[in-house]
Amino acid sequence: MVVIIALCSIIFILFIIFELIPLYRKKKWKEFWVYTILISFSYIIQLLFDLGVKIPSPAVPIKKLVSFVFGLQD
Amino acid sequence: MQKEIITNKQGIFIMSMFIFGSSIIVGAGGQAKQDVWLAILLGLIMSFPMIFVYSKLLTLYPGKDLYDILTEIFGNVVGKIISLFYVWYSFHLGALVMANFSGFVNVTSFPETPQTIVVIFVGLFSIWVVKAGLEVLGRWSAFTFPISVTIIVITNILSMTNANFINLKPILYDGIRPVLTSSFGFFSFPLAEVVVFLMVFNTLKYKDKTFKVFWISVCIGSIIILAIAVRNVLVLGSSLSSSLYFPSYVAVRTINIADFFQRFEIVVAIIFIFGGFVKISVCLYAATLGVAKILNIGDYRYIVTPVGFLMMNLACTIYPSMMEMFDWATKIYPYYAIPFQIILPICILIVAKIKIKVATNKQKAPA
Repeated sequence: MVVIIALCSIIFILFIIFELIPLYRKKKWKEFWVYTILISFSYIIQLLFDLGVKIPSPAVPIKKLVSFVFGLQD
Repeated sequence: MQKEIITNKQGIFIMSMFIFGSSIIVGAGGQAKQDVWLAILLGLIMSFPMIFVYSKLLTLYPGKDLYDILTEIFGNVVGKIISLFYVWYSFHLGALVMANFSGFVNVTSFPETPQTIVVIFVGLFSIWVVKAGLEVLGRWSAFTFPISVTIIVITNILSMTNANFINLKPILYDGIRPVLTSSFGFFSFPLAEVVVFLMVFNTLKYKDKTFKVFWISVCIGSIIILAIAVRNVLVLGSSLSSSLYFPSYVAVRTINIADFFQRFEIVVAIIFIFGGFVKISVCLYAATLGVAKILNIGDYRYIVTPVGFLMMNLACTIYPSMMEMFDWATKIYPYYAIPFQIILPICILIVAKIKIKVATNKQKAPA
């Protein structure tokens, strides 16, 4: 578990160094903020998943909605 | 940002690999058992109207992808809401294929490796390819498509040593109902998934030949899947090939000629890697392009990485186990995809045609 968390963190840090800092230097603020928000969200979810926290999957609500609309049985 | 152009031939290769990419391993037409050939042919015929709709939409607005068409037809707000739907669809599809892929590697080759590692590797390569641009993907498909087809032909011929032609009979034993259900399933996965190409094929070199590209790729993809599905039924029998998760893998495993040509199943895995990778990359490209167009970002390449990472997250978290994935994919996905594959494109085409007619009438009226 520690190995996966370390590996993921290293990958995120590498991408932040190689992609986010150049965006900051080029002063493209919109892309910078979109990148930051999305990648921090992604990192948080990845960390929670690696720590074992169960993350709600969108497959379940979709299954309920589709079964309800089309009248499918389980 | 330079405008990307892919030749029509590269477009055919990309789309064919997209179509047979994951169906090769997961299998198609599971419920039809020994009538899977009939289900595939019916599914192919069923898909022609939708392919006509997709290519008509692209030829009505040459050079524009689906997101541009939506904002032009429906205006800024409604167009961006519908674009969001398609971003979600391609995003979800990419995550599904990634989950399929990592599940396959997990079940067949590396049971001890956590799924996260496989997803990371596939995701990183897809991000790299999408950042490099669509032409790179076109050249990659042009390179790997002949290799994949050759491998498929060779393994099919070699499996004929274990084939038992009695497995194809009795024809239509369970009636036409399972065949129709399977053909609808085959239509929605993988054929009508080419709706994702509405966001990609605005880059074709000869835009008036779009329908030909769609049609030829769908036929090639269906023929390849047909050959593989029929081989699976011949080698494994109808009940086994429809109940296994990865029938092609097991079918190719039976090849054993003179104790020399054995352990061929790894080449099947290689084809799945090639095809699945193309599928994931196309879905990632479509999703990233959509996010960039919705947020009015000029170049989509800046946000490929976050969208790719989010797709990897979804792939890891969406299904707790392989069984749930297959259950969802066979029972729910055909119905869940109906709005994206059938209803929305037809509505968009109708509105587009009305708008164009109104515009030409307005032009003619003063004259």
